[in-house]
Amino acid sequence: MEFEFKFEQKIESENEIISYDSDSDSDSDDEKNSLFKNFKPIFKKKEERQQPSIEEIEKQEEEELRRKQERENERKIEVQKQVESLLEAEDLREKKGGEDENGNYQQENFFIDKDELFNQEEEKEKWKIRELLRIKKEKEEETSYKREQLEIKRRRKMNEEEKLKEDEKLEIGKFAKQKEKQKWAFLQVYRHKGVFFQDEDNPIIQRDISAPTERDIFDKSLLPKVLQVKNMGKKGRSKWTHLTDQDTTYLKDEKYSIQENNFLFPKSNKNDNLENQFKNQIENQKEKEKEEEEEKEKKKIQQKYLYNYRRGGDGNLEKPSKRKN
Amino acid sequence: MSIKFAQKFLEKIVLHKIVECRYWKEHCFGLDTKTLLEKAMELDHIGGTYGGIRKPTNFLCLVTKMIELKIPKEITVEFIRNEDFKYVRALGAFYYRLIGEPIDIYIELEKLYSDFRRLKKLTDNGYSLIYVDEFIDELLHSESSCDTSLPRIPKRIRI
Repeated sequence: MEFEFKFEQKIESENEIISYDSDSDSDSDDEKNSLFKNFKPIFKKKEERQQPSIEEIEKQEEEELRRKQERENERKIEVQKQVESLLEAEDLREKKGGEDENGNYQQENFFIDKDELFNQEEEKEKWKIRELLRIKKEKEEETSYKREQLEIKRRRKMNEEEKLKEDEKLEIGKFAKQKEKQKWAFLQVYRHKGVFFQDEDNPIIQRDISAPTERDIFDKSLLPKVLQVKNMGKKGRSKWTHLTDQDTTYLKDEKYSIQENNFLFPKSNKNDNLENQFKNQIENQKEKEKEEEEEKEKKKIQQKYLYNYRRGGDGNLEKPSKRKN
Repeated sequence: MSIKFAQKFLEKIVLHKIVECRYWKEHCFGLDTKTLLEKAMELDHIGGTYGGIRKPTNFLCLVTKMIELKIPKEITVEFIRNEDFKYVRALGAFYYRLIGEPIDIYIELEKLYSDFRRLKKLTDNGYSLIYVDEFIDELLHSESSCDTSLPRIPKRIRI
């Protein structure tokens, strides 16, 4: 059996041809793919085979011609569009202004500075408005400046106690209210708010970003301890839950705990008031004095015995004098 | 008589561009106070730099020339007091703002608040209109004008 290998073009619709033609600019690889999409091998027997008739060949040639014409028409339209856009740009440039032969800037007179052409009375009225606004601004500045000076004088006369009282009333300085910190969920993910375009009135930008999302809402402290870490099961998984978990400053274990008298982290006086602290200090001093006195007495007694021993048990408390030879 | 003196008042990049620009080389070379006045009378706009390459305006070139020549205050006051040429007046006012003392600046420039003529200002987007009194207000109250940072002066109330 002999077969002839023949390609037959398979065309579904005219739209496809156009799309194929317009893709001719793309890479050669794409072209090959499209070729294989549009052609399909068909095998025929020797008896069924017959050469294409002249009419068919003519038809094919006509089709090719038609396609060429279509392509040319499209190109013409594109070129026309480009030319139009270029012309528009040139027009714009002329309106915007440019430099002439001497390098001076020239522009069509949108803005005219010749005062003779304008009505002087109208101009004067415009000027009056501007002048009044200026005067108003100046006066406001003056009053605010004077008020400031008065305030400074008044404040300088006051005592420190009075100043503190006033601060407390007005909530300034030390007594300024601090923003309440939001309570975050356990192991909530931190998301950084951007810096740019924050002034816009866009409601999406002004949303509270630190609010917990869907993955943060459920209570993660119920999980087993191994799973209480960031990025569990991922490559970037960390060993630690958070810093305070690893902090050993206030731990009861002697190994890790810091000594009680540490002045940086006083343990006993943590919740006491200042008065209690002072009392404690005074008591400590008294105890120390007592101990010192007791030690002195002990030393005296020891010395007594020493002298007695040296003297040979006379019972004399005087210091041993140097030997007289 | 050196360009380095101008660097006290103008920014370095702007000055560099002024020295390289065509108007400076063609028209500002070897100017005298008299000839400078003639050039100033030909001015038809004010402004700092314009366009994509930030080309300096003729106005700014003449200001640098005035700084270079160290034109004394008495002459600039005459620039300011003339009423026929508004661009000469603007040029003098700008130069006086750079070089004068605060009290003198307020005394001389506040007189110009009564002038309501129109000036063309050349900016990045082509020309725009500005009145003389608005220009004076800009000189007295803002920190920079025409692409140069103006020297500090105390507020009017404190003097």
